[in-house]
Amino acid sequence: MADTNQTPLEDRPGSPTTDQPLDPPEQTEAPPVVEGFAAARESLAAAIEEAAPAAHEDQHAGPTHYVGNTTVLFGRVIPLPVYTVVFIALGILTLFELALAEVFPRGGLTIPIMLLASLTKAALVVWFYMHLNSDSRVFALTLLIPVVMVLLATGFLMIVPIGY
Amino acid sequence: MSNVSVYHETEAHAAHHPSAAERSDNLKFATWLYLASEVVIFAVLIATYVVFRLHNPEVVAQFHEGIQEWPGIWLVSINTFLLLSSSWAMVMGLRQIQLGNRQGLIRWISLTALLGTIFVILQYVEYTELSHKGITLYYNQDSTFTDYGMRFYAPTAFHGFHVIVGVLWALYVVFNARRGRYTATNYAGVEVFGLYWHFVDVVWIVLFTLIYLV
Repeated sequence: MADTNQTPLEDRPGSPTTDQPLDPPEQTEAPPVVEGFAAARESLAAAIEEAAPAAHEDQHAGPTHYVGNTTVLFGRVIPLPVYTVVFIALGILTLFELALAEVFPRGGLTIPIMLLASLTKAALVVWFYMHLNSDSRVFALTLLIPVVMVLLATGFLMIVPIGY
Repeated sequence: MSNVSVYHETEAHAAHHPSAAERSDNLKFATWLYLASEVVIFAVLIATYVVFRLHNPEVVAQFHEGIQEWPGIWLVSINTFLLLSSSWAMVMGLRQIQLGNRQGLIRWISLTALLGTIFVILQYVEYTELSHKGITLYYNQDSTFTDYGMRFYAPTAFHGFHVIVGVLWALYVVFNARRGRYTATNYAGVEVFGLYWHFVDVVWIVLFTLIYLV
């Protein structure tokens, strides 16, 4: 690698400047293709920055989001770490599901309510415990894409006639 | 001038060594990709169950009646709370190492492993009880549950296997922590184990509702 760095640019094979001398930088006008590439690269970087500023910032934010001793919930400060607050919420939702299943007959409205409670619990774990609330959005896409594909495929499976 | 600039950027990129944060992100991304493959596997098992559930509601109703007796649904509910608690213990362990407390990490992850172990033991007890009620993995034309067994055991036992792997992984994390492998600035190994363990928890949250409650 050190040798390559010492090789003059114009002597390198494949270099666009091999067969012609380099003009002084002040007098060189970049070809339209290069200018276009540079402009496209800048606009792409700007678009990425605009689309996912949180992801960019949080990658450098460090673990300070998770180590606090208090949690702000609906404007009130709770003297517990966010992980403990989420755990309590998970426990309450599970008790709610159990009570619903034991008290009311299965079927009707209880099924969508229990499924909603279950999905809320799963979302809480993924969002807070698996840190999708602060990690790169790419991680979220890695999970979401197969989930959406599976839901679509299962939905398709549901409409296939069973034949008996 | 533009050519020179592009060349130097390329060389700088080739000589670039990833920082600890970049390595951590790469490791986490690899873990997420692995979890995506697990999503597909579990989704197939769950979809199979759901389709059976929709077309055979009477069989599932009988199963729900059967698990009303002790230990039945209560045993599974205890197991659910054990797994939720183990996920909480896991993140509390991560929090401890982020604060630089290695002993705290060891204590919490050991608790995670213990709770996971109890989960597996209770699942074995549950399977034994269910087999006495005729819910087995094998075909038995005299049993109402002959078609139900495979649909029930495939997702739950596959999940149980993941818990066993998770317990072993937790012990490995504890082993590494005791050797001083993790610090307040280097804890990617704990994080990726956490991703796996929480994923296993999420799968159980879905299975518990779909199979035992709905």
